[in-house]
Amino acid sequence: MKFSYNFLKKYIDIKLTPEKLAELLTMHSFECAVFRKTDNDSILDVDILPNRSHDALSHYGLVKEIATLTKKPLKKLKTKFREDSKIKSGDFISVSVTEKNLCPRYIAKVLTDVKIGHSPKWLKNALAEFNINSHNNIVDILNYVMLEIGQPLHAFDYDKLDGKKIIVRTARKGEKINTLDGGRYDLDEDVLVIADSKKPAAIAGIKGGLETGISEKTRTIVIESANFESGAIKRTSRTLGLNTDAAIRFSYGIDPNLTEFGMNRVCALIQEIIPGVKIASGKIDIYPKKFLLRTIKLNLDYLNKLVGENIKPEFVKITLESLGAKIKIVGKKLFFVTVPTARLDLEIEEDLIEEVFRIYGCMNLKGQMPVAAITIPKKNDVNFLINKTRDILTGVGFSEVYNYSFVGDKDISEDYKSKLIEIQNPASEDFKFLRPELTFGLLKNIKNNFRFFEKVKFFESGKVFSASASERLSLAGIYAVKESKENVAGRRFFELKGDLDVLFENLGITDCQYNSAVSKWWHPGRFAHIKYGENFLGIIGEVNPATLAVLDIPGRVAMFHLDFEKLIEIVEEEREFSPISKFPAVIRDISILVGRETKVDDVLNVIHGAGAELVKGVDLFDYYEGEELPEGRKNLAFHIIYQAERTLINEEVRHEEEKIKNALIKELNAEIR
Amino acid sequence: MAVENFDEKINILEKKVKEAVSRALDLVRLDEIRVKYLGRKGELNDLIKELPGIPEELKAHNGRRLNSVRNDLENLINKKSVELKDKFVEEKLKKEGIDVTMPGRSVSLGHLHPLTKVERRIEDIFQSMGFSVVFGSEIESEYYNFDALNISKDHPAREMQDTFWIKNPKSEIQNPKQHLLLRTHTSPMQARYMEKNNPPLRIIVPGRVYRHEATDASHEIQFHQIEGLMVGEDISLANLKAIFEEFFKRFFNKKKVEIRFRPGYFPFVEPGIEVDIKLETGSKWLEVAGAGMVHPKVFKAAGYIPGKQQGFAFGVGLDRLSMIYYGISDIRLFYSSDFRFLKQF
Repeated sequence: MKFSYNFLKKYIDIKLTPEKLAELLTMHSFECAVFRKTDNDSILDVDILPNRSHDALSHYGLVKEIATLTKKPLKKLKTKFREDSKIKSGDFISVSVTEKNLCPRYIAKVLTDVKIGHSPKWLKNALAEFNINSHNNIVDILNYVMLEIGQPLHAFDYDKLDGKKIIVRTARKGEKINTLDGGRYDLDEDVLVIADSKKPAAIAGIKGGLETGISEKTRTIVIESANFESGAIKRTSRTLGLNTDAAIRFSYGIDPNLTEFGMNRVCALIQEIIPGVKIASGKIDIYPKKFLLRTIKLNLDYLNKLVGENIKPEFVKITLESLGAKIKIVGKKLFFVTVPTARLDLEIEEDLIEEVFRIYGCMNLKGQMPVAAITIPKKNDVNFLINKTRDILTGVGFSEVYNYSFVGDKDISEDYKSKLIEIQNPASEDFKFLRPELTFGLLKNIKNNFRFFEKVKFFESGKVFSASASERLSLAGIYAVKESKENVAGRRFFELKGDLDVLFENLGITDCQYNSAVSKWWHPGRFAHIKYGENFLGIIGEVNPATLAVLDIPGRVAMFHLDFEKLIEIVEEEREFSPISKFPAVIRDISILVGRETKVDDVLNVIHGAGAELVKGVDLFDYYEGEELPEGRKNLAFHIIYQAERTLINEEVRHEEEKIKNALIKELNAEIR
Repeated sequence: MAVENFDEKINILEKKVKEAVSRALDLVRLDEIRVKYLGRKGELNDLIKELPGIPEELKAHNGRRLNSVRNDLENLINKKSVELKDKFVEEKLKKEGIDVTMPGRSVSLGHLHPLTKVERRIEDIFQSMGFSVVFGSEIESEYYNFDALNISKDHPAREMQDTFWIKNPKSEIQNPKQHLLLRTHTSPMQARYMEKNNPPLRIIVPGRVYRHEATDASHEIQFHQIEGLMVGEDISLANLKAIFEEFFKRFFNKKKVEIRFRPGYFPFVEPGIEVDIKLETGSKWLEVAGAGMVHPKVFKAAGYIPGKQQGFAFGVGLDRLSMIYYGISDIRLFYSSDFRFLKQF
């Protein structure tokens, strides 16, 4: 909220410059800065904390705070006025409150012989400083008092109130109201209104109605100073999209005892400013459940133990008293503190500790290392593996990106949408769903980077979301090259696969299978599921050139994505050390001609399934297709490693080799070379 | 055959070989010399074959002399051989000379994201002070994000942080444990962790959080926080200050970083404070964290016995700290995936 420095100084005698005052408030109460300087005033921007908005969102409220900090006395506001004993407020109007929970207190007072006109210049200027338009003398005084003490007020034209009645009730469905600012609102049972015997005359605590508002012809007015329940006002303000200065203040909650002070202040000012006004004696005050003073226990030992300081009892006493609290001391260390009702935020011992601490000065606190025994932190295995993965992938040339956790409506095909998690109130259509895969983001990164780079190699680790599995940790990588020609078929695919091999090997995962598969968006001949035993680990493939064309991406793009949580499970399982054999391995090479369509995996399966139990490993070391070979055949060469817990003799190795060769001939029609 | 003649023959042979060796320019020629003079059918062996024909009293003298000449010449040839080899290698390597000022050829390493680097730095420092790293979920329930943290239904704090809610077919869910949202802070892990663990405890919780707000150079709809929580019998605000002093000193690698506490408001702490740091004398105070003493209602929601423990909690903006650390002026760069930006880290 904006505060006028001159306005503040009317209520307290301080010598501080606006800058010094701002600093004092920042260090003890609220962040504050000099917002703007005018010819003879300074406007301060004070960030009143939400828990203090009920008492400090007004000039007099803030002055109370300044008085506490500076130990200077607060000047009293004029609240005395003369009533006309010949007329009584109660004879003019009756008030009934049907929603007592939503309206804890309602005060009404009647004024007659009111001459509506312009406000004096000082009042217009004061309002102008806060961008409030001047309407007429009565409305301006009401607004002024709200800025001054924080109590929102309203005035009705008495002659426009049907039945001479004020009823605080919820609206009926179908009721409508035209408001003072020219708005028109449809009301329902959720909206609290101030009604006369026929119609709603105001939206309670938010905005007055046009029909019953003050006009030039108004002669008799009813002034309302009421208290409304914060939640109700906030909900209505939000539903109707009507955010007024009054609504903001009620939304934070206000002390019901402020209503009386507000009414007295308004009457005093009206009498001062508008000559001839008669103030009817007495008031209508519906206040069924009195808001009582609270007494909170404060243990000084606990205070110092919580803060870690040694604040003296005398300081605590003076400080709390300067806030308007009454203190009863039991023994030396136990205070019973009765706090003023205006401080709705002071409820428990810790609230009082905060008051003492901030006035003492947070900035004065000396750091002190905890004396608790140092415990060894628990290792976070997931974090360890994510970080290890990041290091491996950057080691093979991937750079890490952080994309948005959202995907847009356009990114997702209709049939897929039901499997996703949708945001009820998305920031925009481009952020409507939570990402089901990291690949969406990575693919979007290519185009922009191709403006500056020939190759892009990115990875991301992060959460992905689906309706069935909620959220899971995922890992994905992309390798994009602007040049689409390739000197080896599937070069980018194999380069990416090689990077994955490095990752798996370093994480201690061996024997992943790659099963060719087909899926939308992907190159039909260059896409595979990655499996570990029965577990589906992820996918790798080249993006279908048609998909790239739609995205306006040239070249070739290979991607992988992995279920990182599954990966972690496997790493845990495989974390078993196998001792190095004392006996030498025998390596024999085998070279075969097979059909072009035969996959390396097929050959490996046959070798492993041939019944040769001494085989410990098989590695492809050469691959050739060319004119010298028979039509439709290709050449594959493998190292086969034989090992046992004894020294092998030639004869048994040869025997194993025969088994393998026979199986290859029989099952793959292979030609042994 | 004249005796002086035999002696002379040896001298002549020795001289011839020495001359030939000194003229030899390569290893092939040197080998030819070795074969011609010292080989099995070489000239020296021819002289040995003549030995039986010379007088008995001179035989021993000439025999010894032949042996010594052979040894000398072999040594000479070996020495020359080593010289020639060295020379050959030297010349060969000379031809392999390169321009060492040409640019090197490197395998290009990738780059870790700056937020990852800073997060690791923060984790390392806190782990060395005994804090464990724990993670939480990004989809959180209304209960843990708000209710368990003393942020009641109509509390002003819900106003401050506008939330992304998860759309649910059962449109009106009243149970806050089932009403889902994207967590607006990492604080829900305070409640979740304390429900499952008893004090004393010290943890940090890094993670991604979401806020429904307009984006600009310092605001994003997603960003990262690091929550801290330390609870024990007598953990105080002064302890928090010391932990922060140590942390920021090490984080910025400085002898001292000035720390300033000032009042702040977060419903889940009481007292609540804002934490500012100053990196250089005379520079501006920078707001880096919100913190305070855990509110008794948070302890209660987590099932702790009231009055038996106390502790502090804090929240640090990872993005903000990274911006200060690297001098980055726009938070949106972190999520731009622009390699021109990323390759600088």
